[in-house]
Amino acid sequence: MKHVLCAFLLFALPALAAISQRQSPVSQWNGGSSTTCYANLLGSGYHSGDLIVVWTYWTTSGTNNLTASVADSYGNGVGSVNPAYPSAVGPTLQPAASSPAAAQIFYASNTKSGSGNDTVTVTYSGTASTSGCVFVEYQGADTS
Amino acid sequence: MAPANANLLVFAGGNIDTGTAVAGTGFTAIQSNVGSITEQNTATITGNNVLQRATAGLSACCATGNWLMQMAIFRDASWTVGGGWNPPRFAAILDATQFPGSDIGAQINNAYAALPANGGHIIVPATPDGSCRNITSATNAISFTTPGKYPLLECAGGSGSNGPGLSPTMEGCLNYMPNMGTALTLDYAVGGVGPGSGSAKASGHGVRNCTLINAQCQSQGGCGGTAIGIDFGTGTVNQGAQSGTMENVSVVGFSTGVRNVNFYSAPMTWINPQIWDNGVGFDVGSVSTTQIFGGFFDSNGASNGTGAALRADSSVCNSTVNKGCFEFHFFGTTFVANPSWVVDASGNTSNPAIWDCISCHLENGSGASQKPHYIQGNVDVLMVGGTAEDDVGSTQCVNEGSDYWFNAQGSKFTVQGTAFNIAACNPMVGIIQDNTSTRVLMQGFNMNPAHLTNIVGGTGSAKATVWMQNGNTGSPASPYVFEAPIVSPSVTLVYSCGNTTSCSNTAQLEPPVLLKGVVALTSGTPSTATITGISVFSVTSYNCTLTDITTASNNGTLKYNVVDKTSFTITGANTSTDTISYLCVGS
Repeated sequence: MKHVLCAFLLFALPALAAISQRQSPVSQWNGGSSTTCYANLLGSGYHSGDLIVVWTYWTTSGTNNLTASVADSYGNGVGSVNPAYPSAVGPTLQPAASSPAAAQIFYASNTKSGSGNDTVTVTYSGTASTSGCVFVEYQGADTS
Repeated sequence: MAPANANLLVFAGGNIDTGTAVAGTGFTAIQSNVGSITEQNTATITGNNVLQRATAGLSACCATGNWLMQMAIFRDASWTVGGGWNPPRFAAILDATQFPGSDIGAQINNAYAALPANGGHIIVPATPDGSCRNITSATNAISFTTPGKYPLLECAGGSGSNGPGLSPTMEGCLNYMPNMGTALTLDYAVGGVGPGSGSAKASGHGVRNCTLINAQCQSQGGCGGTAIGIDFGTGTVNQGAQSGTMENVSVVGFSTGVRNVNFYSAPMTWINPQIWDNGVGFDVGSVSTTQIFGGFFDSNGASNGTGAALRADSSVCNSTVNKGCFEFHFFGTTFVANPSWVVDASGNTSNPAIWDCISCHLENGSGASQKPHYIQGNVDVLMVGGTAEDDVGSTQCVNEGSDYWFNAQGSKFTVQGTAFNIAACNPMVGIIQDNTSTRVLMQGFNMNPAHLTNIVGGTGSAKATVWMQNGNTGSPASPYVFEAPIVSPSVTLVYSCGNTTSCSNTAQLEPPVLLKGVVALTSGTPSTATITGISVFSVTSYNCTLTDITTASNNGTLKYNVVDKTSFTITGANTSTDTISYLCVGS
């Protein structure tokens, strides 16, 4: 009977939504001027081989021509020197907003192993009037 | 967005400039802060190709605002598609703007890092308004220097202005803002490795459709500083962009537009380059070939004589490795308003460089200081067809006196079928100045014989062969005027028997030269007379016959000694002041 149950579970798993949050998301919201936005993913909850998704937005008082880049203390992302997160979407501009806004989604797949908290930092190419960033670690995502 | 499979994470982020954002239907909020919301949907999606849409809303019932909403879909580790189909991934075609970086330079470098080991294609999309993308610091300068990793950098076409004063173009624009450093380094080629197979040299790499401008500089001769637009390395590490192609590339406003002193970064092909407003357009010291098809070299160099459209780099041209300096072949290229020189090979003291220009157009600027100085230095020249013009007189009527267009200082200067023209009110003496042993062979058209009065001048002009037709069919009427053959091709050969009793009958290929004169000996022991200032011999192997026309019995005492090709000394009897007649033959 035990063997039958195991076989049933293996057969059923692919039908389930296989991606889920590994640990509680973290974020930072900057109501004032800032050139960075960062938060710590807990090392105790962190796993290698996961997917980290980053969403960030930033506003400026004039024309919003800033860009953003993302890196973390574990060296996730692409590039052998100063690895950084690739962009999934954006940057996308909303020039009609009261303060011109921009946003972008970054990601790092197949995360590396490390120790301690993983500090993920968004760096803007200049000073943003306001900004925010959200970091989410997912398990079960494609690693390629 | 229509994903192809159910096992997905739909991640979305939104921002609104008023009110409080909340997750949309079917989505679970991740984090939120007033007008910002991140949300996800990991619920099972039934079926393939089901359209996904991320929505968000406002907690207040009636508020409206300006939304910014984005969505990305990530697949899970078991992601497959029925039938075993694997969607194509263009791993070797990358959009630089999708890579992180504080500016486009850093983004391009990260895209290059992400390419496969043998390289690939990096695309830089145009900005929405066609304006330039900035490279803000030398730290973020574009650097393609991984051995064997061949990139093709392409700036996708835009339709905007490309910046103040720049014409609308289909090139994408990269504005390198520092006034030092190098905007783009291409030094990645290695022997026998790359997209090509075996030991064949790689092709299909280089740069396409990009404008590189230095801090938006658009001023003749550049705007100072030391910045270089494109550099191909030094040859000490890799082989530059050997066998690469630069297509529709503009380089504008740099101290040095393009620098190639890499002995190995050749051959290279440029198609339609636009090189303008640089201190030096091309600074070169690579002996192997570069082909340039079409294109425009405009306003490179300064009117004080510094800089050039194409300059021999003296720091490498005379090295043991780089003997010969450069070999450039132009086809249908236009050179306009380069006020110092089109080609300045004065820095080359090694073997002559090579500059061929087929169906080219040479024209100076119309300002009084924009002299038509086209070529100087140690370079062999071949011009076929095309035209060379002088516009200075068109408005200023400047008398350029004894000035000249070309200073022939290589081993040969050849013109065939080129038309030479000068503004009507602008008197000028020479097209070519030849003060060296350069052999000039010139067959062309003089479009304004009344003002372009001397084709070849200088102390070496006697060796020139010039056949110029009057190309002006209006005045005088006859278009078939044989104008100025300075020296016709000689059909007489001088033969040498050599130094033995058995005559070798060796033909002397140089034109024969006869030199005669009469001189009185200065009394002494012995009496002597030294002839100096001879400029007709190119070698010292001339022979002289001496005759004492005062005292025939002294003929047996006469001797001569060749000092060099400019001087020889006659010695005769002691305490004699006889008059000596001499006849020398040589070449």
